[in-house]
Amino acid sequence: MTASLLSIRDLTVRFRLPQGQAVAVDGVSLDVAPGEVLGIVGESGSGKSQILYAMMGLLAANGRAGGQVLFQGQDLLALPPRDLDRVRGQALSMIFQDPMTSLNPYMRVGDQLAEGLIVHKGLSRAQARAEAVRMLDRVRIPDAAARARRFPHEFSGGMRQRVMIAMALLAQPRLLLADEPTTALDVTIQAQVLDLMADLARETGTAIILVTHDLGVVARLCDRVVVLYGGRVMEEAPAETLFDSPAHPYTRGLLAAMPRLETALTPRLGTIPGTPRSGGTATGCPFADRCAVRLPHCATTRPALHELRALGSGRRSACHLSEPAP
Amino acid sequence: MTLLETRNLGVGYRVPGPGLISAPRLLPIVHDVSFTLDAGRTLGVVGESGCGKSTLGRALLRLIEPSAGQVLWQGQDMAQIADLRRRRAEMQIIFQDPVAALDPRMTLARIVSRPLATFEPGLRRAEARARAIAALEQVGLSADFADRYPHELSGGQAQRVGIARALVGRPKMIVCDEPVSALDVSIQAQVINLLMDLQERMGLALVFISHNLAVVRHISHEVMVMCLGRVVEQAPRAEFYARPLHPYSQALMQAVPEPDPRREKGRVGTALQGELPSVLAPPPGCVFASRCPRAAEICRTTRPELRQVAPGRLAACHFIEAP
Repeated sequence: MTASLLSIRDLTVRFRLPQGQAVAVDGVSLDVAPGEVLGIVGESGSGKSQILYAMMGLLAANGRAGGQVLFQGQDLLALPPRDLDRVRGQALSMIFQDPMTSLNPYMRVGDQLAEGLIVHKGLSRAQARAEAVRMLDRVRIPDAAARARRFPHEFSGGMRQRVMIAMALLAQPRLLLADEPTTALDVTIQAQVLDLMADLARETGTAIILVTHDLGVVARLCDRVVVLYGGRVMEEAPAETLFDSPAHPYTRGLLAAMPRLETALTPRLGTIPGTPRSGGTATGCPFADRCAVRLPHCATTRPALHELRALGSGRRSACHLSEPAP
Repeated sequence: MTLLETRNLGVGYRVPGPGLISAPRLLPIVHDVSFTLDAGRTLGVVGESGCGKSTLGRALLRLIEPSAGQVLWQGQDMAQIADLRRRRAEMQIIFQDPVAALDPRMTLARIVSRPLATFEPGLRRAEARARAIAALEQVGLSADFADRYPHELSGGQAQRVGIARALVGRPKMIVCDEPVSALDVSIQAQVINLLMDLQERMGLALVFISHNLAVVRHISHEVMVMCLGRVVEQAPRAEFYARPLHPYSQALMQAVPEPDPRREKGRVGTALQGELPSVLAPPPGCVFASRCPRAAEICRTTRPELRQVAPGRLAACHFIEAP
């Protein structure tokens, strides 16, 4: 891998609750290279979104992040708020699942886009507006100049998400964090937004971390994938090889549970028994209680993320079954 | 045996008229839906948001009054069934948001047994409870769940309770309105398998409403694709998925991302452009004309009728050759 744009080292996210402490992210390390599209896949409670919130300093008030998030050489977790603001406005942007609640309903769309440029880039109002229209046009909002004078409720869901992407890209960030950006959209609109993100990543060299529960979305957009479960990385792989040879029992279970359009029909879908684990520190493997191939020590000894050289480069898994003999 | 049949079913909602004092008008949402559903079979209804699929599902049970056409239940016009409230034991519905569908202040045994008060008013409490526990067991929840409350459940368990409640009156048909859309992938598979098992065991007919073409493929025998309130294609499952005929069905199929990077990377850049027209102002011609890559002048002016285009296959498109 080339020099990392982002290096997360041993990130933990904990929440203080009346009944004690809840661990949402439990020692996650990952890297993103410049221009790379990394997918983080997991079910609810896997901690996938909390990784992004921790990076952006957006954790809930009772949440605390530990470890390191090295972005362009600076540890975001250690930055004073004002410096973090500067990074967030310029090099790092985020888009969310629900584009309606992320836009100010009382403000014209063009003005919302222009605001960031005025604050962070020091443009004049007129310059910023012109730039906003140019960006709306770039994310294929038809008739962008007229649309910029409209309010968010006058946009469809797909258009709102494209507005959010336009807003996130205005500052020409090096890294875009996308939290389930297409989950609320219909499939044909989802395809448009994914196309747009793929184009922009290619044209501008912006790296993307895409958090999603949908392995299909990952297959369309991502170069590399991290599979998360119970706040820990289960498997990491280049997208082309993950789907051909999923190594971790959890990844295999997820793929078998997905109904498909083009493979032969099976009488029943594959299932993973039980329900997804919601955070918590497991003493052993967090997936042990649902795993079909668990060994006696899986519940007590935590498997380390290790390389899987036999499956090609960049492959790692955290499972006792694939651990090299000591 | 045919359980359910619709003939040119139409549904509309009352909306305020154009002026302050003008009378409310009927806004048509679903047009001309005709199908038959036999015991033990599943009809998959698929479409994007606003296509009318949930409205159709509710109209099938007369939870919304149809505005045109007929719904026949075992040959009898649903509008003529006198004791419909009680007969609904035979036809049940489950919903998308499994937690919101359960009363948070009731135990699961009460939630599940509650419909019996309507369906079998003579039943004693202990019997109703026993029936509820039996229904919970049918969906894979042990009797220990009987005295728990909805907030103690995961989403998948809550959806199982919703299914148990539908089963308690011993239905012949269940309308499933996006029953797995709010669930995690691993749980979604459990619930789909459960519905298929129940169908096999009890000969249930299912109307399975979903936006997810892959889920519909797995569970359905027949597929109906809706767009803006109209059926654009209707076909047996195998034929439909082997070769969807309507350009809208083809576009939907293209848009679904599959966990296969080789297929997916080749599809980047193939998304449809444009947006669906509003239900409030439906186009005079084909509902898909504004986004269809094959649209011609006739598509914008004349609505294509749903017609037979191959044995057992219906489609509404000017450009599909009839057999």
